[in-house]
Amino acid sequence: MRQWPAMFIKDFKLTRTVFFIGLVMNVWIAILTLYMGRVADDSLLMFVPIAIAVAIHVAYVPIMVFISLKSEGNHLPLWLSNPQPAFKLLLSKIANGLMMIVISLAFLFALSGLLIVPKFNLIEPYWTDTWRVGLFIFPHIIWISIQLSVWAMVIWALYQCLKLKIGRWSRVAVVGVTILSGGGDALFKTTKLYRLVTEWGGIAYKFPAILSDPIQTYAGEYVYDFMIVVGLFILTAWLVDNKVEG
Amino acid sequence: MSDVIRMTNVTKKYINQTVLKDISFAVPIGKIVGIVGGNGSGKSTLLRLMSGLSLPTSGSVTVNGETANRRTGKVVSYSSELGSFYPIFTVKEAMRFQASQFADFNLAKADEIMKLMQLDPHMKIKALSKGHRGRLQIVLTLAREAPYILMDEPLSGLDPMVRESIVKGMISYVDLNSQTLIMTSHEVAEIETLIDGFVALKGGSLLRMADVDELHESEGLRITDWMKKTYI
Repeated sequence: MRQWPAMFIKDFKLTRTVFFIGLVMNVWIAILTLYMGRVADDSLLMFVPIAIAVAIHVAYVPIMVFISLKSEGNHLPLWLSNPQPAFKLLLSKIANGLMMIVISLAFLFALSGLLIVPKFNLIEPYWTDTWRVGLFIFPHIIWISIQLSVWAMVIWALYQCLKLKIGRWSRVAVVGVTILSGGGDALFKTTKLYRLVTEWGGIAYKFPAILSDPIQTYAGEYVYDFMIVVGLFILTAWLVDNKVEG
Repeated sequence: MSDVIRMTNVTKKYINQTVLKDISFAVPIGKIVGIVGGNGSGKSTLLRLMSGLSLPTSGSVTVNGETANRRTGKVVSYSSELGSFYPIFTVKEAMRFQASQFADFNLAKADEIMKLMQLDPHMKIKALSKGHRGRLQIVLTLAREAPYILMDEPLSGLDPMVRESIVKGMISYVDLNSQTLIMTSHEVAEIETLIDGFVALKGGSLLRMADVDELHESEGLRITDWMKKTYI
């Protein structure tokens, strides 16, 4: 078997238990949706459990990546002595998380859809916007989840670098870096410079049956986020290749 | 000469603790070298530095002329003392995984060593005893045809009854025309007849590096006796 596919399968096996637990939880969410559809007066209320479950999926890839990295941390020499470059090792974990979140979200939507069909007449007025919202949310949840997973990777790699250098203070340092970088990012997003850099290629998503105001996004924001993610990923790969010790 | 592991003035510190102090030596291809010393003398750290999995605080470690880092794993087959495995695999799956990752992993050789080690290929690794994990570690490390094989305490956890035969078997799978085996061991007496040379550490410092024959000739002592005389 070739190097990367074998690595990908190994990474799948490391997190498959959590993945299958997630799928079982999706079944429970679908059952809850069905129950809400029966008891609630407001037909939109039945979407609440699905909406919560979908929103929670932003944490899906970072959780999977973190579990996988934590497992590698238990036998770090084994993972680090792999001859593949760090970016390939890390990419395998993100690809696994991506595959799992796509399956989980698709499973959740499909299962809920099947349960909603008999009740379709209740939501018919909202239907077009409902599935369009779903179509809007699906890639955005995945994208946010991948961004967070790259942050999880940086934090993990940073912790691994620092723990042999400053010992117990490494946790404090990592928390400090996380707060500072998160705060810095949030602060930067309030500046004129950020708006100048990102506010181009505007796209307004309109869902009049559900939301009174359109959701305004910019192509520039996606490009900015993409560049940050790529930069953080390269930093993580460099840390693993050059600074993390087994 | 580039086919060599070379350490030059290597010091390694962890937080405030100096584990190795100003170590310099070189190990060429075609040797079996034992790293000996008491507990906490820095044997395992020294091996990790050679494998590129650990980085020196000062000084340099080169393998075949290149600075050792994590990618040194391409030419170094390293096994840690604690044993590193993915517990999700069976013995056979672990061998196949190694074969997929390392171009120099010889699956036929691994099968042969696995039989010698009396391992069940279908056994889950998480179900293996400590001794059998040690045997699997030997299989996975020796089946690679890498120029440098580094084994940290490969004999720990093995039954005393089978240890001798396993050690002899281990050595038979090392090709001294193209490979070097460097191992640490507390069981100095058991490896003394097999090794060509030794690196003796004490408190993180290099006490002596010599050929076993040279020690016999100059001091008329076996390594164990020399260690007793020197360390105590």
